[in-house]
Amino acid sequence: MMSNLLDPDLGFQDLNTDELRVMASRDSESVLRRGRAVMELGRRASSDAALLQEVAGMIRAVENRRLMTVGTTSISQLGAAGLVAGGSERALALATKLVGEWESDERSDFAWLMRDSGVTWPLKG
Amino acid sequence: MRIDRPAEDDTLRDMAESRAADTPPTAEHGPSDRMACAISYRAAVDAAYHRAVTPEVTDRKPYDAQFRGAADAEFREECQSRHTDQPVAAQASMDSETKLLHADADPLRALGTASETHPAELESAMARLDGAGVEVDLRHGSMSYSPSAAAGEPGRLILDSKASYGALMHEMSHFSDDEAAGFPGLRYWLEDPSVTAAGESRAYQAEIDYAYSIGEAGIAGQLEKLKAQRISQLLGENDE
Repeated sequence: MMSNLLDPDLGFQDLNTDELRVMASRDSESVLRRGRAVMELGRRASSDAALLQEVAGMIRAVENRRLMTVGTTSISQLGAAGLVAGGSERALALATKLVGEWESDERSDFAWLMRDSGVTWPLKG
Repeated sequence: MRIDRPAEDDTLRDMAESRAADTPPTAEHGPSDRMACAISYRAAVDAAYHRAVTPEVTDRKPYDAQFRGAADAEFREECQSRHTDQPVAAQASMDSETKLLHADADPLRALGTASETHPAELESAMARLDGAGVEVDLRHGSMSYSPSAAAGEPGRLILDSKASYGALMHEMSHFSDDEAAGFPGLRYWLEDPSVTAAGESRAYQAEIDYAYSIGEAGIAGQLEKLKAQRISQLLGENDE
């Protein structure tokens, strides 16, 4: 079934948060699965302040910024997309802050990702 | 084709994965059209490097104007590096050494850029991309095809104007896979590492076959190593 990036990840939504943490940080894990794990954590962080800060650390991690999943989409970009997908005010504010810390190409790539997802980025207001 | 970033654009696209280096391009252009395109293209490149022309900015510029702007930007960048006696800042610090985009590993570039060695194929690729509605952005030091975040939509090609023909073949292979799958969206390509790894394998193999076809066994060997590294990264050691 075809789905959009910000849709719920049916394959990962039933994993518990600890499982996702392990997957996200395991060097030997598929970079694709690591990216999905960070994105799912980002989504859940909308309702979990502690997890929000933890995910911020993952998104800031240089390794996650440089590791590409597919095309120009890094693990960190998927994490930020997860924050956007979660949708809480705090999560959106954090995503804006974190993306603002990136280099111009990364910001541009993320904006493209959001635009294709139907999200105007940077967020207004 | 959409050109959303006027300051850095160019287009290009396609090449059947298995096409040999000397296989005629598949675009519908006749020989005279292709020749005209090639001449126009070369003229634009030459003009860009010999005259610092400011490119016009419109939403949909003709291809030669697009390339002129990009080439001009690179020309200015190279001038600046000479003036400052500093290496050209290929990208921000993360790009050239750490981002695993394809331009970071383009050993065939030593033999010339795609625009130098295969201008007709480059033009054909652009025509194919244009026809598919793929967005093409030019970026120094990066080369990649990214599927769209939205299912059913074509993706985006980031093109380095100095990329080799082999690198072009590689990224066009990714486009071909996305197109053949009906542009299923980024989520699809994230979901099954084996599917994505198979696509990566095909893309590298196109480059490797090309390298062998021109007698560059050493470069083919380098590409084999890069292929193995990337496949391992995609599959991981715990793939289910």
